[in-house]
Amino acid sequence: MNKTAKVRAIFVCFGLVCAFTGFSARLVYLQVHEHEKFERLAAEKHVKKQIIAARRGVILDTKGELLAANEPLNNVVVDGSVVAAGKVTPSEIASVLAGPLKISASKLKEKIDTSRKYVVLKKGITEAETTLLTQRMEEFQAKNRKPIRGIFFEPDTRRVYPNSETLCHVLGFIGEKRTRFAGVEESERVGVEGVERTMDKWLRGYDGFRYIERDRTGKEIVPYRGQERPSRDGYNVRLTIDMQLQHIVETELEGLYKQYRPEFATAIMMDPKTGRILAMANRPCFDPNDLTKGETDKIKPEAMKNAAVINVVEPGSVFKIVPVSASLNEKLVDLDTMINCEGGRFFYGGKILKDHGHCDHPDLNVFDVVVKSSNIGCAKLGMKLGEQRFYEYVRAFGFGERTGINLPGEVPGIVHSPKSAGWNVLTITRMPMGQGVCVTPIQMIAAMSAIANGGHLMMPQIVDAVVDESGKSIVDFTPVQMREVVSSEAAAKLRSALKDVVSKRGTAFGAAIPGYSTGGKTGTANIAKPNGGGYYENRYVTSFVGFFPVDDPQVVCLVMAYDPKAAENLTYGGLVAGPSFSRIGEQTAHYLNISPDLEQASPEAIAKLANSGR
Amino acid sequence: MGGMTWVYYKNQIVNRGGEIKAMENELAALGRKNEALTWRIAQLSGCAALQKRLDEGFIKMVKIAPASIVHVDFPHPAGVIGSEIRTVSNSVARR
Repeated sequence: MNKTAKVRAIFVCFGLVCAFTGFSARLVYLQVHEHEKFERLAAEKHVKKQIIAARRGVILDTKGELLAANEPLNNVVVDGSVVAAGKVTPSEIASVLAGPLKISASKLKEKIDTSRKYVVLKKGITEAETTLLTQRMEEFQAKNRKPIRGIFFEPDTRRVYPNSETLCHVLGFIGEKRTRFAGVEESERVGVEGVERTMDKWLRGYDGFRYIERDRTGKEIVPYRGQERPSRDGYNVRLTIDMQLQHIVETELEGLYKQYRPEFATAIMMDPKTGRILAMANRPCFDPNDLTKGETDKIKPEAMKNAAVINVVEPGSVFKIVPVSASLNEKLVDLDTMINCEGGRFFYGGKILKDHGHCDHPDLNVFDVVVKSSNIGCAKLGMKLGEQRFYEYVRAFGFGERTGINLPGEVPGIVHSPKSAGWNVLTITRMPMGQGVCVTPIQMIAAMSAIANGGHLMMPQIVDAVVDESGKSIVDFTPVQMREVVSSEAAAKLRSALKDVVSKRGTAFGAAIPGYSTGGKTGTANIAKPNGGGYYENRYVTSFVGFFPVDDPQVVCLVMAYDPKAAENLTYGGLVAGPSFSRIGEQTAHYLNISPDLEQASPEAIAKLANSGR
Repeated sequence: MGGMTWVYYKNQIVNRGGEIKAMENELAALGRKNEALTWRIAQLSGCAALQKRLDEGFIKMVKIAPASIVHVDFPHPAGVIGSEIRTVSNSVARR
């Protein structure tokens, strides 16, 4: 090799060494110095945080019947970039999907022919529709020997209520809550009304996540899975409601609602010994499966209110159980103590208090004050108790405070104290007959339950337990006794009087249950005009609260209708609500297999005598 | 040789990952089908649905007359377990 050639070779080698040294330096720079930057960029491109959605717990009745469940659905999504890279054209895909999705092919083509990576074609198709769609796509692929790419099914669920309107106010419904975190909009489903709302923290569970790595086609590379936190499905909630009893109550209440067209109607059934609510129904009602009806004004906000815990009314005569039981408990009177009923007209505080036409006797004993529902008799008992003591009994029965039932929006009602401005000279004569006090239906049935069970005020319970998937109890809601309101002797005495209310002598013979001793109290209260303008002459709240069998009450039931449309002489609690109570009680007794404790009167005889009830 | 083995096992891991994913998808699909069927059963067997079918005449039922109902009373206490006498009553039928 001559000298020139040697020099050239040295230069070439030097150049190569420099080049490779440069490459190596760059490599080291990229791999070491810029490592974190490129690792982050790669992760952004290939690593994805995948959300593992938690399943919302279901709601069951006391026997395990499903009341609220999740229907699996799918959203059909298109990735425009994958479609564009594939062999099948958007118009071909649109023609395949149009039929099963029930969308016109031209509209679908517009959506599919996009460069965007995420376009929803249709939300919420059922599993059956998904299967049909998959079949059509496979058929196309088999026929044309080219795969459809870029169409994905995104799992979703819909909350469903198999019984539609039945129990709608208790179950409630869920809604979507949108939040914005770090510039990203997120939405989650939360309970909006009913048990769905109060038990939301148990029902909801929490979503999990997993960091996954994907290849260039978008497929997950399973061995490269990163950090993972499993989801925890929501717990199931078991209610105290028995759907068989609920069905009985709903059917009867629907009949009452159609017949009398009240503004609203409520029926509640309760186990007096435990405070467990066995059934609760309201009219008007709504279908929680189809809340969109609200947009067309078919569902009014009034229909969504759980009147049993939200609406307050002046209860009328059903409230008389308070002064009578209080007087008996304080031993101020006994059942045979005579009360001067002033011949049906009692002048007090500058006003005349009147009794009904059928109890305008000069004197009635306490037993008959209850049976005949004497306003004056009860006013006199209230006066015997004195303002402060009577007020304390009213509060002890739970009026003026929330019962604590596990339902949202419960109101405490209104009870004025003797020291407040709302209490005037007439209050001690009006409140004992259920005027000048506002109560909720749930408070009223809880008070009657206290009389039925021997004087113990029980907290009404709608949730029995929170259970896991296998049925194992996580939280048990045991019966809660709030306090002892009256002695068992006083309660028993009042029960014996309430038994006669549902007799030929009383105001509610129509509420009698054939074969069963029944006790209860009617209520017919004038509806107050707004802004303290007195009372409407011909608008009433009619109600009946009763229990059976009298000696060992198993069931307490309240039926209430606000402003029923009936003839003036027929708008009484015993006539409007009493017969519904009777029918509910009869079916309930058969269902619960309660042994009859009376010789049965013929249904014809009961029907004939029912017309005398008030 | 070592390199070939490494590639072979790497492929095996990737394949197993694919199988795991397929199994997970299958399980998820089964869970969803199960949930859909549970909901469908609830829809068909619920009290309201049964009542509707009864009203339509699809299910025939005969109402039991009160005279045909017999109430089994609770057994009276007895010394030997199993020797309790359970009485039945039906006041309507008795008359």
